[in-house]
Amino acid sequence: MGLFFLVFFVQAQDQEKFVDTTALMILDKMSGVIGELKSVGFKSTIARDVAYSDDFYIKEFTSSKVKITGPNKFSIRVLGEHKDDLYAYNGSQVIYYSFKNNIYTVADAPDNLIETVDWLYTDFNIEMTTADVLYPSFATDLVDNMDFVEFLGVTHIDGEQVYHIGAANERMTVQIWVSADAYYLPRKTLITYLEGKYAHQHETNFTDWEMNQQYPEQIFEFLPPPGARQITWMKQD
Amino acid sequence: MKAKNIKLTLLLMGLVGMLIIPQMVEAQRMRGGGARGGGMARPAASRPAPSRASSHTAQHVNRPATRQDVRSRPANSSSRATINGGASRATSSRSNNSRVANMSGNRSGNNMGNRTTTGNRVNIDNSKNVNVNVNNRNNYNIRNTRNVAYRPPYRPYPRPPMIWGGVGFYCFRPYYYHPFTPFYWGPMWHPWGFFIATLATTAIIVSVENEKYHYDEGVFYQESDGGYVVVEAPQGATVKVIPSDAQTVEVSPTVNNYYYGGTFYEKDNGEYKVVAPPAGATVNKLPEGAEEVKVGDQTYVKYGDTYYQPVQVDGDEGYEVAQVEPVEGDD
Repeated sequence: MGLFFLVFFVQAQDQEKFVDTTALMILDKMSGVIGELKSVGFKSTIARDVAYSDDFYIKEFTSSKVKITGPNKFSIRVLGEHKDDLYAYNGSQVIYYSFKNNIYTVADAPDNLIETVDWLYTDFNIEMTTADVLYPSFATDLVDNMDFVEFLGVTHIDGEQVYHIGAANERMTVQIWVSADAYYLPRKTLITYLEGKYAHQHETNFTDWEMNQQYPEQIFEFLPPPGARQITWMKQD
Repeated sequence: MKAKNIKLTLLLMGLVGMLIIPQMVEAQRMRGGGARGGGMARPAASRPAPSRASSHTAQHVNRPATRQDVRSRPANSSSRATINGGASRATSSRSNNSRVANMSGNRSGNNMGNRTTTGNRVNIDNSKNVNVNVNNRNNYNIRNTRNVAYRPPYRPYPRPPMIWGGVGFYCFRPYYYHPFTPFYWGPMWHPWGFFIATLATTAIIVSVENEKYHYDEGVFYQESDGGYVVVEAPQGATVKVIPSDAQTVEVSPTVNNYYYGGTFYEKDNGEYKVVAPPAGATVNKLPEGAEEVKVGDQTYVKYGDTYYQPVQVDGDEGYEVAQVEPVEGDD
């Protein structure tokens, strides 16, 4: 299940659903391509609204470089507000390392990617929102959770042709832009959360896709840099 | 072993050298020609390259032999189809040990200290008294389940908490990470779990909730087999004297507490009473026994059940006692 759906699960009620098959076919094609990949890499930049104080949201920017090898390895480098982190998963453990503070934490992890991403969220509250589009059930989850799914047309982002898809339910709207080339990879997602005092947004941009590259397995193993200290990783009850 | 390594390295260097500097090969040929003909304009001897080339040739001829007596390698690693069949290690491969804990005190992982931690922070049940395990000193329970992790601040928090795991961490000052180094208060002070055979004559006996403690110089002890073990200071205990180098900590404009060795004291009728850490107060040293924990995106220092947020106080590094309260689920 997509992470943004985990939190906002909507019971299928007697809502009138409007689902545009064009939109679904594009999403299926996208998921189909992703489902065939043995390894994938990309860069993502995230801009999201964060509550700073009661009536004041600020926007925080993060960028990541992601490398994933199926079935159970990833290496994610995250640069953001006050953080410069690495998450490395080698099939049996996830290690978090902070370049900024030279500390690291280690936890034993499940042996496959999907469970590990879910486990990182439920146990440690680590959201890997860029992983949502990589879930095998992305298209079906979208249909299940949204009341409206519609193909909104062809447009351009940075000179590149993209298909624009919109989806909505009472709690949020989701827009996805899928590249209109042979690969149908996601270019951008924008989620607008409608609940809470103010609507707030979470935008992700995907660039520099690498597909089926053979990443050396060693890059997913973590060696503590000199002077790095291991600390305890708290998990949620 | 080392000599062979160096030889091999040189070999490889030479090999690479031969690949990327084709004129070396040329030089060899030229030199051969020069020696034979003698009529070459170029003075072969003054060029450094020829002499190097000759050592190359020597190595080159020997190469198959030296290769064979290099330490044992898999004969044919080409099953991996990598450029060199796979590197051989100079060190033994290391593993990382998982270290995870959850907030109610249950720990898992390979790197557990000798201390045992008990569960709930708010537990006034008298049946859960401090246990004495006479046979094994290392399992001695040095935590006090009656202690509370913090007491609320005198003024409300202006900023929203950091929310994680259904719990909000409230602080007045912004998060500012600095590495944790345990502070040592001097020869009379000891961390929890420390065993001492006899106490100084200045030690007094303090009784709290039907439990007997011994107190000396800012440290609380309980009897254990053959001696005394340092335990967590019981809140509510009253002592007459605290060490002179205790730090004054402002709790509110009208109330001060005293801080020494990880324990907070409040002056009460001329005596000093052990109190829960006041949320919002700052200290700049935390004892051994405190550990850094990663909570969501931030790293706190946890001492007992109290979370300290690393902050800056007047440009110096300090720790603020955090209020940790369950919050309503949101975003």
